[in-house]
Amino acid sequence: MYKQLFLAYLCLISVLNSHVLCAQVAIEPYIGYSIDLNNKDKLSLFNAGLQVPVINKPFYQMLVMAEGGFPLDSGTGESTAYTPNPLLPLTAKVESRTKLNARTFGLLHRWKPVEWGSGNSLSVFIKLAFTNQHIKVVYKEFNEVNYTIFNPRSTLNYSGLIGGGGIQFNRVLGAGTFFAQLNAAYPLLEPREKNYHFKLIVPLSINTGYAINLTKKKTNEKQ
Amino acid sequence: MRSNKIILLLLVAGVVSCSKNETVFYKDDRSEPLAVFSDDGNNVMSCYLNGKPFVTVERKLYYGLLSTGSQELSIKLLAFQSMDSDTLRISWYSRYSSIDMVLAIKKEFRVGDLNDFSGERISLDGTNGYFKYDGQKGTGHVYFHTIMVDRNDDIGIRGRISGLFEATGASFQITKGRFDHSLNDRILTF
Repeated sequence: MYKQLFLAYLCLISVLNSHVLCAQVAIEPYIGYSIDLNNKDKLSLFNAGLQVPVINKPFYQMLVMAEGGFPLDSGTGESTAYTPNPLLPLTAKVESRTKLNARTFGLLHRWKPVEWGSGNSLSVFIKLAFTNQHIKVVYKEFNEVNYTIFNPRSTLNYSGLIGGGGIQFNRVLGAGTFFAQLNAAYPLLEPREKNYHFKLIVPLSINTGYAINLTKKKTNEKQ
Repeated sequence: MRSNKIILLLLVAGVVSCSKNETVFYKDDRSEPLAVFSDDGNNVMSCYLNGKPFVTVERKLYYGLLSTGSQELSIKLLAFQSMDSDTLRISWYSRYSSIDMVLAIKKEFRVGDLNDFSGERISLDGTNGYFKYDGQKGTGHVYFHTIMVDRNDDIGIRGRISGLFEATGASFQITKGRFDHSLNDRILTF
């Protein structure tokens, strides 16, 4: 089902991209920081992404976005392992490290309801995207033959749809536009396999970037 | 004719069982495909039996006239007048076989006495207890991480049991055994 949805998504985007050939071409690279709101473990990401408007009207834009999230803080944890063998100590402490990665590809719908001063504006947007969230758990070496970890952390791998939205501040700066956005996203589907320790990531992101116009508007010139 | 069909459909719906699955399975990354070692009342026991995974059946409640249900665990108190001690038998059921753990217990053992095992590691050496699989007895160790049991006149027996075990017999070896169950009157026969 995911493959069919993704192909439909690509077809839609390629149809919409035909508008780009007629419209002003711009790209919006950005970087930022995300923190997960849904798990007790403190997981955070460094974001790097690109937004490209495919429909570009004064009040409304539709953008294709692609974003990579790279682990910033490696969460560390300590678990207790037990053994039924009375010849060994009952418990052993086991340390673990947790890393979060994410990749997202989707569509943004952005509206610009508020403008003020010379080149300042506030936008609101909603997002629908495909994402892959991967929380990798690595345990330090321990006597695994005799000991079993109690309430273990398990690796989580989720691929599916997320939905979200946010607000964006824009300011015309030089030839382009500086922007800063705050947004959050929420997984829309259940994972195929239940994970004992982790819930799906709900990232709260702060990103900043610069929108660059790549083409100039055509002007009517009489020769 | 139409009303007869509706009545027939309702009868079939009443006879056919609706089921509630009371087992929650979380995979253990480090011992696939066994379940995690937990203490949440997930109603599952899993282990390696001769190197192959052994996982208990799901605990299901069936609602309907033809209800049968399935349960992964039974705990029975067997009292013998002629002997110095009674026997506690804990049995885990997979689809095709079962594993028993038999412990010698004091006379006049009560449901509440199970709580004394909580946090204890017990070696079953053949005299104070044993493990049994496929008709063969063996020795081993069990760790009761949590046993919390209570009997109430209104709601009956309620509780939880979790732990680890390992066992060796002439023709079998059990490793990485872990269990996590909720307890009620259907599971505990005292």
